[in-house]
Amino acid sequence: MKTSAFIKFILVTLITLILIAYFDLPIIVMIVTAFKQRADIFTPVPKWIFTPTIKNFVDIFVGTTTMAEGTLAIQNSLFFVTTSTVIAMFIGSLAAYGFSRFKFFGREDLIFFVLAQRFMPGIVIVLPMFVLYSSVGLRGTALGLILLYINSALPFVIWMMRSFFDEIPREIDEAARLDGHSWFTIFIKFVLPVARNGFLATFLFSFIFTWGEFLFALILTTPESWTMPIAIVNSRVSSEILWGQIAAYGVISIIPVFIIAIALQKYLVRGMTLGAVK
Amino acid sequence: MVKVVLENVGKVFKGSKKAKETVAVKGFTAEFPSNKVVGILGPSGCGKTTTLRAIAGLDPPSEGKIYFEDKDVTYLPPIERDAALLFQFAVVYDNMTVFDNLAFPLMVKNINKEEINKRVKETAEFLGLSDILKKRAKGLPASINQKIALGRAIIRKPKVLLLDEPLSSLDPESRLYLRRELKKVIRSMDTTVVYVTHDQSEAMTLCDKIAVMNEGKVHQYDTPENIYLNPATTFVAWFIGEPGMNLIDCSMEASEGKYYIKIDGVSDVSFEVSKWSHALKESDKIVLGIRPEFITITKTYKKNSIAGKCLVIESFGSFALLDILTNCSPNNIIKVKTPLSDDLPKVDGDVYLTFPPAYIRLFDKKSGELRVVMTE
Amino acid sequence: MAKLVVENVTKKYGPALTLEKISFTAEEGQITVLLSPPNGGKTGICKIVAGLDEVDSGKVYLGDRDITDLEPKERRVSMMFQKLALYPNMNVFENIASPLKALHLPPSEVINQVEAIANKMKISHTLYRKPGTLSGGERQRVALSRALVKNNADLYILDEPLTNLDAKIRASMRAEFKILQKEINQTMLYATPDPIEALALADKLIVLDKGKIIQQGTPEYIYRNPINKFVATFVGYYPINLIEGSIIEKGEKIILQTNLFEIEISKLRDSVKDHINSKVTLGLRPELLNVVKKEPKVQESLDLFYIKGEVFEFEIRGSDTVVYVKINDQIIRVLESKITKYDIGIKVWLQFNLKDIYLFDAESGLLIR
Repeated sequence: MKTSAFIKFILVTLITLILIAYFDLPIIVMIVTAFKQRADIFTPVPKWIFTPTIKNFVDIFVGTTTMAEGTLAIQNSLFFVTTSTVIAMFIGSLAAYGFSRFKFFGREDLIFFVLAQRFMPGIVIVLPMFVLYSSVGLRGTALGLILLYINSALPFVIWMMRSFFDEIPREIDEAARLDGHSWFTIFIKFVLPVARNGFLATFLFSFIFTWGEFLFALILTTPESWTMPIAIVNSRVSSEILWGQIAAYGVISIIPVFIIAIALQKYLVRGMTLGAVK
Repeated sequence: MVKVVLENVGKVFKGSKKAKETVAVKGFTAEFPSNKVVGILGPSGCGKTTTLRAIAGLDPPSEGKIYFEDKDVTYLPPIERDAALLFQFAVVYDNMTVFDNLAFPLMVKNINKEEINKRVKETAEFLGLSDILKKRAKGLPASINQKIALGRAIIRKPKVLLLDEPLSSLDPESRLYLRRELKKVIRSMDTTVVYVTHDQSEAMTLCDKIAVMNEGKVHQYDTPENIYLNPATTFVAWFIGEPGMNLIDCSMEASEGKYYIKIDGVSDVSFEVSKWSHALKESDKIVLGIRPEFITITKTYKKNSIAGKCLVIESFGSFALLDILTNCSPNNIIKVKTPLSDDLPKVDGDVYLTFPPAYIRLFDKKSGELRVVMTE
Repeated sequence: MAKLVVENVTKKYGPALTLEKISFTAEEGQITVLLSPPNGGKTGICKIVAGLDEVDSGKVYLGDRDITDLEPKERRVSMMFQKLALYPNMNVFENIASPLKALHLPPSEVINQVEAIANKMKISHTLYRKPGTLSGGERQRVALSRALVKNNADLYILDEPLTNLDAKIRASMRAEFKILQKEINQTMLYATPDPIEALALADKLIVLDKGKIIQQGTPEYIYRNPINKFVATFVGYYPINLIEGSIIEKGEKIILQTNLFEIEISKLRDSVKDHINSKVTLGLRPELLNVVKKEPKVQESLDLFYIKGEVFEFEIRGSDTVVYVKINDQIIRVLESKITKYDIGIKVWLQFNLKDIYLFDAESGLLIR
């Protein structure tokens, strides 16, 4: 009895370690690379023991030799992504609430149409968008990219939030209506707090998607409005690709997502609606 | 011919970050006599299913011992115990025929084909399943499924048959029939039956002895009659019966060398308890228990009666349930069950309640334990 | 407090349920109980009266106001939901205070009123806890408090307020509820699927099935004069026994002939005279039957019948016994209000009184007497 339990423990631990290595090795390599000197990066056998340096980080923020400018890219990314995600969450939740609670003609068709936006690969519309944005002068502007990001996050937000709202018993709204509250109060004070976990999860996913968005940023930005992914691509000089700087960019771009995920982790567990209805 | 002995059986579910440690069962000591039906009765979450699973060997207890006759089976796996378990929801293999379903436990044991055939036929005959032996089990009604499951449980002639609310998922009509089958099985088989249920009517009807549980503890282990008439604790008093016993706070007073029970909040009602005063002396507070069906109700004042007002009358053809508002505590409503007659009070009418002393039971308020069974 | 009048309300709820021409009145200060099996339409009526669902046609009046097209908050009604619908993110105090806050009452007033109702409902100790941490009974009381805290409502709607409780607690809540109703003395519309609850609480009982009103009246009247087989089976302590048969005339006598027995019912001549030679269903309420273990002597009186049968099964329910008596393959339920044990298979006699029998037209199901 005792020995078999011990063997089981060893096995489980081993398998867990292998899985962790499988998933996290690229990230570990990236982090390690970010702290390596140029010579250490290119050794034929990966070097695990070396003298760490922060030169790569210093390089991307000050005195970079590439076209990309680290500080600006981070500012851009944070500003575009946060603004667009917050706005998309607000508009999307309201729309989702409407879809969940009000019956109207063509509701199901409309929500399918909304989701269908996600079916189309971005590359299909990127060229028309380029032409469109160029002609109205939105190309390379903050507004242009924010609008685009809101647009691409919305279907996801609406779809996710609707399913979360659907799970909240209608009686909650109805009780609040009978109490005499207005629709907006009901939404903000009664429904949204109950859907908090879903809301935060949706926010997180939406943030991550937009944060890593590459295609539209590549086509529709100018160097002043480059975001992190674009800065990474441009971390090169004519003679070589600056792997150290790319790794440093990678490390930095993980940080915000990492912080948000850690902060929201406890809310991502379901169970908020427990106790509402029995 | 196996008696089941539980010795101080307890089960603790270890806590984790999220869940607190929970004590599901503690100190369960009882002897289940061979060839008798013993019920474990209690509200949901009282630990009855945990106890049954320990007896079956599915989850060993965290303390105590379980014996089948003299054999310690506490940590034996289910297969070595010769016990069969029937669940609340019938486990039937959908893709097999009824025959195969019944034969399954025997096939696992490597019994020869002829013997299997014979036993399946016998069992099917016994339970009235002969006509559908060749049918696939898929799509059969719940009551038939439960019968098949029962058949599979008894086909290997287990020494101990464990039943976990086998009837509660059925509709009333099939419940009636299946209960009859169960009785038949129980009486004709050489087996000890443990029957877990939350439904007191099933326990009272089917069982020779009942263990009433609440919050992991056995409150009383006795015959159905005794559980009804002389509940060992206030919980049993309240739980058994529909509605349960009225429980009224009272205190003991001495005057002129005699002892009396006085009901709190009600003056001039007392019962002499000198005979039992020693049993009550240590109690700080006493609770008087009396069943609704033993209370006499009148519209005119009688000596030693409690005055009240009739709040609700629920009449059921031949009898009525009345809720009487009185000054008693902790609950000021006393339930009375009385045969229907023209003499019944009206709603809002004044009534007087008389408690025949022979039906009064006295409990210690703090521990809830029965102290005195009054007699004439 | 006001009188509720529902007039010819029709509303289609999908394929399974349509409310058809619902008309009834809930008198001022009374409890009007809507009783139906699950999905019989009672929740729909509650929601229509509360203003949560719109009618297809028909009118709803509260007092002298036509409220058919008003928003819920303009109706001066209060409602408690079967699912309770407590706000899980708010504590008990905030839950109960919600209707008062919508009225923009000063905070001190809100606190006073919430505390008063919490006291009355014995939930003061839970005020600062979240609903998720309460027991089933406590949650029920919180939901009830929230429905009752608004004291300016004209009508209180309670949609299956006790259904989610366990049987033991439900029985004791019934009495408590009755006391509460007397105390607050308001017009109440109360929906329940439980006939025992309905019989105990109702001033006026409305029996519904599949979206239609089948019968309305006082509980006693409906119990004694069920309009058809459905009401007779559904409204009672225990389902009625139904036995198929026919009425024939033999000379001067009128005989009720069934598969199980023949009895003379000449005394009922007036009520059955239009049904001679036609098929009828005999209804016997289990609570009005008796089981006799000893063979009766000769027929003691014309009004008392004894039918021979055998005990098929019995069960003890609380302090009652249900005896299943088998007569010619049909099983008749008998409810005895005491604990008795029977040996299975013994001969017994079913005893009943002529005055306690119900007769229904076999085809239409309507009550003959």
